[in-house]
Amino acid sequence: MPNANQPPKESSIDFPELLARVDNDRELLLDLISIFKEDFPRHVRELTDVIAASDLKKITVVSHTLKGMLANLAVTRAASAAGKLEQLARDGAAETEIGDALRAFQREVQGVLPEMDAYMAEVQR
Amino acid sequence: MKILIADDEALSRRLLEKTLERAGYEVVAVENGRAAVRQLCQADGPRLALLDWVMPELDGPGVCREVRRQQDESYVYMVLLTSKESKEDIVAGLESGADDYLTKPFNVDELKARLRTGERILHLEGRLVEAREMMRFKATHDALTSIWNRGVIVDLLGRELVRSQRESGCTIVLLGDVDHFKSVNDTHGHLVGDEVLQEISRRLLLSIRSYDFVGRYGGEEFLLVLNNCTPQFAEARAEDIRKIVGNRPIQTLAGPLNITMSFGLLLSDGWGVRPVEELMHEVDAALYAAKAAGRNCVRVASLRSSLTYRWCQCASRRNDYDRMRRCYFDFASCCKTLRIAAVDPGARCSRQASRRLHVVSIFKNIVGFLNAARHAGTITRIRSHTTQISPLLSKNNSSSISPRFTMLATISQ
Repeated sequence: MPNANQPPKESSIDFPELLARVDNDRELLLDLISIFKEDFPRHVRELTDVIAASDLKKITVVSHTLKGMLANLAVTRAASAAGKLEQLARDGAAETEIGDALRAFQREVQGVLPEMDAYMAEVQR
Repeated sequence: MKILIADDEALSRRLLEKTLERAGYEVVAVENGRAAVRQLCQADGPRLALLDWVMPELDGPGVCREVRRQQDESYVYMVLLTSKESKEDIVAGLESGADDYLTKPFNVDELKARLRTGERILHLEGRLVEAREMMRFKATHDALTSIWNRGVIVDLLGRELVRSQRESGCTIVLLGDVDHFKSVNDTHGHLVGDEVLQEISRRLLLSIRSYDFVGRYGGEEFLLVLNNCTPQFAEARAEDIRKIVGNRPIQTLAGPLNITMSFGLLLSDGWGVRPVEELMHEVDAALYAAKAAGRNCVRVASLRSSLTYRWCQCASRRNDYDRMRRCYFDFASCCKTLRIAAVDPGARCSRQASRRLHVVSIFKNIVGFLNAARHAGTITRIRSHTTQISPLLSKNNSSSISPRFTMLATISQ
């Protein structure tokens, strides 16, 4: 049961910003969300794989892609978390540091897909 | 306007595609740098490009470098899309040949404004290219007839001669002159003369294949260069061209005029390796032979029919040169078809004299020249003049050869 004293969790997606980005074109927005739903989980899986393999070059590339996707859909905090990962990998940071950043990223993106689904359902109504 | 988007990430590509379509662009979207280079280097490819920085195979700066290296026909305005914000990165991007950059995620209005800047630059470039092309056309084409001008047609002839030599082929050189053109101008005025030249150019263009060349060689002289020809059909082709020009009257402001042309014809395969100027003199001599034969006909320049000799004599003092020139003018007047048209390497030869000159083989002294002329059968006609020329030259110490100038003569039967 949620704690009544805790403030409600802030949305991961900046919807006004997202609508401005697509120029209020809901059809385009649905299009983008469906691309996101298809590509995003694949890239996240890839990210955990390359982190497990400690392949810094690939971590940089995959986190860069994720950062771009998230920023385009105005998922700003998650985009920053992906950006952090990209920077750490580029700087050759230690595995533990990258592991922490991955967990922070995962926390940020946890709610993104359900939020997108909810939003899509709302838009399509 | 066509615009290229290169981005490996589907979501970003779709967003850009739709945004730009809405802004009125015709969008070509590709997924990687190699495909972007292929599109941008096509003749009718997009001239405006939005390139993602990070892409597989070839990144955005790599695309800029490749396009700048390969595409020199039309300018391509390239904007890099980047989430890299360090100054070093931006400098590297611009130094790769990008015109501008935009930070991701992009703001729609900023994107459109930057693309409008690109369009302005491209529009300006388009106008400059148009002006350059017009200048190029003017520099290579004859202003009246719009066919190649003399400089270009002679260059093209040189190129074709080298090519036919290399490929053991045959090039036809056809020099045509409008018959009695002066009387057209004198009778009907220059405007009508211009109309005649324009219509003749049009007919000559119609008479050749798309890969042959025709240019205005002089006032009413036209030079045709027909590549890769079969020698036995050469005369028939020249006859066809002569008929295409002369068979129908030309409609002018002064009414229909019957205009014909005379042609000198030369087949390159019979002459070995010779300079263009030399072959031009030969074909010119053949043209004169056509004129002498009554005009409106074709005469072929051949080693047998155009017995040509070059006489070379040198002198060190101007007086000698002048005297020799006078001798040659006497000499020229005695022989109906003889033309002197040559050259003074010391640049002393007047323009009028050089116009009359003609080139061909070298004799160190008048005796050799006269022997050759005798052998050619023209000696009977010049005999009375040889007595005049010989003493003059012998007085001038014809044995001392100086490189100050050279006079050359062509004798045609």
